[in-house]
Amino acid sequence: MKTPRLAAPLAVVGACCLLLASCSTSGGTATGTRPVSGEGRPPGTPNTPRTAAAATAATATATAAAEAATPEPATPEPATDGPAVISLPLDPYFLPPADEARLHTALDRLVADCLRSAGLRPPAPADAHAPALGRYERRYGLTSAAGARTTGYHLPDHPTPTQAPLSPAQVNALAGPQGCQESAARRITGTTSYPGDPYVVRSANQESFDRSAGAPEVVAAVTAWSRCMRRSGYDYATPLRTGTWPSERATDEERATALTDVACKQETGLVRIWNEAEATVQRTLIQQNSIAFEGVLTERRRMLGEADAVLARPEPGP
Amino acid sequence: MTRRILTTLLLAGTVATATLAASPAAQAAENNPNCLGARAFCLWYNSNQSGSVAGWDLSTGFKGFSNLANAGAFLTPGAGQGTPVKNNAASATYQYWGHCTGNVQVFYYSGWSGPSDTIAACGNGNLVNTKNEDASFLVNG
Repeated sequence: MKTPRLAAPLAVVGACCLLLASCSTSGGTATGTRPVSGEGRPPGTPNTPRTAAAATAATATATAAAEAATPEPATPEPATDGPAVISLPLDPYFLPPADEARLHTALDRLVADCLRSAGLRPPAPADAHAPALGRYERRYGLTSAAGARTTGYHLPDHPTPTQAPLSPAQVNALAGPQGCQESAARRITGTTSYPGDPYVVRSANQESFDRSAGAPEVVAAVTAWSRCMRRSGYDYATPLRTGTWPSERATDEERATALTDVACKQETGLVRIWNEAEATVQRTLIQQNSIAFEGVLTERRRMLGEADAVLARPEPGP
Repeated sequence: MTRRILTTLLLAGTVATATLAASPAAQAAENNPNCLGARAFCLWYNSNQSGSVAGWDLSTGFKGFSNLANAGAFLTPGAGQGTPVKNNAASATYQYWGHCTGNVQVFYYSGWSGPSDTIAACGNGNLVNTKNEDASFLVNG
């Protein structure tokens, strides 16, 4: 639904929204306008995905110019294979994996008890799998040279694991507002949803990205990155607009673009510069909204306390 | 929104637009319009899981991610029916009966880049970072 983003500061967002991932308030940025926007509204000059014809034309033009002047610089090569490691001041406010696991253990116990009370067998625990991407892995665009070489901007397939089928009776007991899963969620989170990242954290996460995108040093770094890309014949205004490739699998052209992209990020220091600028914004947001962020930690402690109370109960026999 | 899409298409150029339209991947829309099944991810047109919905069945053979440029439209009756899924979702559900592990990340940009919203398994929520800016998603776990 199209509604304008809220112009209200984070501090005046309703108390429930500050704490709950499933808050009903939508939007919610501190400035209301975005210096950088989604794919339909690129910041700065418009960019065009490099088509074969455009690339050929660009290369031909560049070649002619290079022959008449100085030698054309070689396509830069990424120096390392690893993704950039990024941390941000908001990190402690995202639900840590260890706490999430503790909450889920309690939720699983509640669901199992609920199913047993209905005379049903609990489902077998699911295997845990590592996330396909780190939280910040592509925050400023592609950074992995190894990924660029193999899958370009695509991701390697990671088919969802098979699961033991549930009986209709199990599904009936689990599903719906009166089902075991929602009941368990209500007990721990106070909502119909399993635990997730709180609204205020997600909102600040976007706010810092937007504000930092307009910082002079970031604008300069993006411009330098764009110039670096253009040296190799790729016309992009921002590294966040390189990811649209309609083919099912990565093409040679996509991989070449991706490698140049990663190399240009390294050459210009774009990720480090953007990360530092965003960290500065986040520190300010956390300071300005300290009560809300303290509330995030308080709510987490409350949920963990509930979980510990559930887990302290004697486990029923088989 | 219409003006934005038109602008995007114009900027992308005729060749790129034709390539997208002809690509087999462009037909790989969501496959679970009613958001049913033991494991399903669904995007809703309105906040609080209301309005028309588009869904993906994750229980069998799903490769784990999708660029929403390749998705179709919201199909079920309700507000937003017929509207493209990309850049028009306001809330999400990750339904996973019996196995509430992992999450789905919804990204602001295609190619799983930029800020994202995370919807926990057995969770639901309004999109904050990607409301009306949903461009791609990734299933973790």
